[in-house]
Amino acid sequence: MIFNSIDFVIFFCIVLAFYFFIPHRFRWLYLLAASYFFYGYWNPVCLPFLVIPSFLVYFIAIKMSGPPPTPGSKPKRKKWLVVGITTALSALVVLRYTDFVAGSIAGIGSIFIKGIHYNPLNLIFPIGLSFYSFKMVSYLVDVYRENAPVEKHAGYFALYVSFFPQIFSGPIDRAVNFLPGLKKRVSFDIDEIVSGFRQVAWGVFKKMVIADRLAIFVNATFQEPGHKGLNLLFGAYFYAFQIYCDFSGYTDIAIGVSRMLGFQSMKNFDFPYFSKSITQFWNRWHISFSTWLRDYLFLPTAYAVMRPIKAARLYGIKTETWGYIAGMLSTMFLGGLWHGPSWTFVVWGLMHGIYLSVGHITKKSRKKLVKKIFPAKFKWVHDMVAIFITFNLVSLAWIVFRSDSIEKAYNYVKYIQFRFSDTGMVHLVFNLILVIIFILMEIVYKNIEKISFYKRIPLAVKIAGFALFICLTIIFAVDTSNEFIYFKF
Amino acid sequence: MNLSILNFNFKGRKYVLRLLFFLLCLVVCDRVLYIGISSFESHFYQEGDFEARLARYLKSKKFNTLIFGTSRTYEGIQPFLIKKKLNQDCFKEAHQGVGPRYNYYFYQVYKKYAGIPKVVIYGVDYFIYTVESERKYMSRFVKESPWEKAGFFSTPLLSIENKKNIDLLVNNIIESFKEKDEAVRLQSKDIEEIQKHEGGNSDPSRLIEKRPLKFKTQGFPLPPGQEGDYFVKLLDELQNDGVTVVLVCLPDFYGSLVTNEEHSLFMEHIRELQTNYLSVYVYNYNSLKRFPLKNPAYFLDGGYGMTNSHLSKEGAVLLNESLCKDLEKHYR
Repeated sequence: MIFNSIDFVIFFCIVLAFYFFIPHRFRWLYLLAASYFFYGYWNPVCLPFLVIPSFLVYFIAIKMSGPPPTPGSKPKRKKWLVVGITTALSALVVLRYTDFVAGSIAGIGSIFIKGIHYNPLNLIFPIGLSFYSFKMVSYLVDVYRENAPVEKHAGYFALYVSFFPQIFSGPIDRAVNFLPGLKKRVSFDIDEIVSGFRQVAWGVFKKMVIADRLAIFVNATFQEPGHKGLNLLFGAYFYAFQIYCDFSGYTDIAIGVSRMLGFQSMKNFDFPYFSKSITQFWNRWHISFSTWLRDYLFLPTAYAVMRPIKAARLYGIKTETWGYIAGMLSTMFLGGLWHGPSWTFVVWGLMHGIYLSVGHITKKSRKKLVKKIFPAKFKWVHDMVAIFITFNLVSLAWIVFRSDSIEKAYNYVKYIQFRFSDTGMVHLVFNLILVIIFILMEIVYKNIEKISFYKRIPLAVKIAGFALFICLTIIFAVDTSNEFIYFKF
Repeated sequence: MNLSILNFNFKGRKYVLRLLFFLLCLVVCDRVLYIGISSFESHFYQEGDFEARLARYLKSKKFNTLIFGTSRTYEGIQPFLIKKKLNQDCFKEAHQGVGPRYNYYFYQVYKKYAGIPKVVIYGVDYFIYTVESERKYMSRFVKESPWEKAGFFSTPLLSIENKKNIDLLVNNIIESFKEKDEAVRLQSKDIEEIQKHEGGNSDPSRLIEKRPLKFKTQGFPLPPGQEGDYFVKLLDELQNDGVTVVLVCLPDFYGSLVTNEEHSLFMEHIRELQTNYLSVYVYNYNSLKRFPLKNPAYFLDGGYGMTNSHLSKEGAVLLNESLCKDLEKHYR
């Protein structure tokens, strides 16, 4: 059951129809049953991979936050944390990376010893496992750090892990944000329903009209990149927008659906392609994931690297910089690997790690240079150049991300030529217009409440306009039943 | 009772009215856009001179055989091979996007200019009852108003009901910017090109040879389906005209035959249909006894999980040899 399917529409209408009639104290049970049904509908075999770890983690967290150790006894909190994280991540690590690790070892081994071969086990991979495993880890660490109280209600915690709008592709909400919302008594609020529905419609538009349409051009260029010249460059640009519309479209639907049920989910995207640096890009792209990486991977790693270095500088470089680079490279390596067991994702992550590290090292010198080249009144020129460079760096990394192998990614970049291709020009221009229209619409959509003209429009006209928007979405949607890209991560 | 519901009742009336107004707007916008699209579609697909071009071509030769079918027949049955073997002139009207309804109308026009054929070869597919003739082809013969096309009050949202046709129109509009030539503009096969087509070469990337652990199979879609009534109507008319009808089941790449899991039921149905007519003959080449279905060189595409499969150039040569042997007696 994917969000852009009729099955989901029926499922959600039924869930919503009864939700507000159920007494508050039983709503968690209703939503938990709905979430398990939603997840099991995809593949019932995967349900134990969701249910069992969430209850284990619940008990481990309770153990971890038990009474403080008596004098003389050893503190066990850290041990429970390790046990908890292992429990939360074990299914993810085993099911997702066994073939990858064993295959890579066999591949390296076969260079030295002939005849080494690994037959992949092709283990089942429960959809959304990467997302809900990370939710459990964040909860455990937050409880350990005492940033969040331990949840005593097993049902509430199980619902936090399995909440159906977020289970397949996030946002990776924090327990500290989600659980208070669950406990809060929420009454039927038509404004929230309307606002949620509007966001759902916008998400469907992004996915089915923009992303799926761009996918036609992108798939063609990535499948046969030979001799396509400038089309390849635009193929990479369009992929950047495809993945953005696909993923942020999913997020909009998830947030909209949550809002209709009275939950406020965290923001996941904030005009990432208008970023003036890679650092800014990661503050605006998949925010729930990037903040997760920052809080639970980058900062602990960076501090772990910096701690043993007593001096302020090592080999002439600041200790802080060492910490930043080591933390960033390892975080982005794992962040890339999180997307899937493939070297393309690892390289994609490392590329971003390098971008960020170089950005950090050259921050001061770049600032000086910018001051020299662009006087204050030409700040906008600098901003445009910075946005353009950042977008190109991100798109270059997307090529690796989208390619089936490193070799294919290399060939793709190699074939890019600054000449117009004989074929595919019509589609290129069409997609370019589509992207421009989308950017303008996104700007208007995100700022619609600030536009004074919008406020003056009578409600009837707004309602009619929204009806027209839905009809146009149906007409221009690409009917391919494409899954969301982030489902496989 | 839950207090939150009382809150709803208090504001309820206003919001119910808004909801009704929204639904009304949705239906009105849908109808208005649909009428616009339909009118544009009729104009866009207009092929004013199709009948004249067809007439010119039909009069250029004395055709005694008419070939009907979908893209499977387009790739699989070749007039030039039949001409070579049996010295019979065949006119082929088989390509993607046409079904029994189109064939029925086409036959009326064909008769007008080429007379009644001696033999009609009809490539019957497993999915014959799910095929719907595309509007761009139907518009050659039938001018429908948006009401007739969709049943104006039959469904809440016409844009969802007609999504497939709208998608085709959008794609054709994009394609139309590519070429000025009308035939290409409409992505429709030109009359002459259909007759001359020799088939394509086998492409291993489009074939699934290895049987996966799991794959989706396809049951036989029962008649009448989309256009089954027209199939019967056409057979009735051909019998009345005294035409010999040869129903040909073209070979599938083996995996596709397995995927179409009720193929025997389909054959049973075709043979049962045959018993209603004196001059309808059935030839089934979709079996390992009659055709090397496992040889990838004979197929363009198909395999496990793929319900559709087309013959390659080589496959077509082999099929047409067998077909000509079976056809021979019908020309005596």
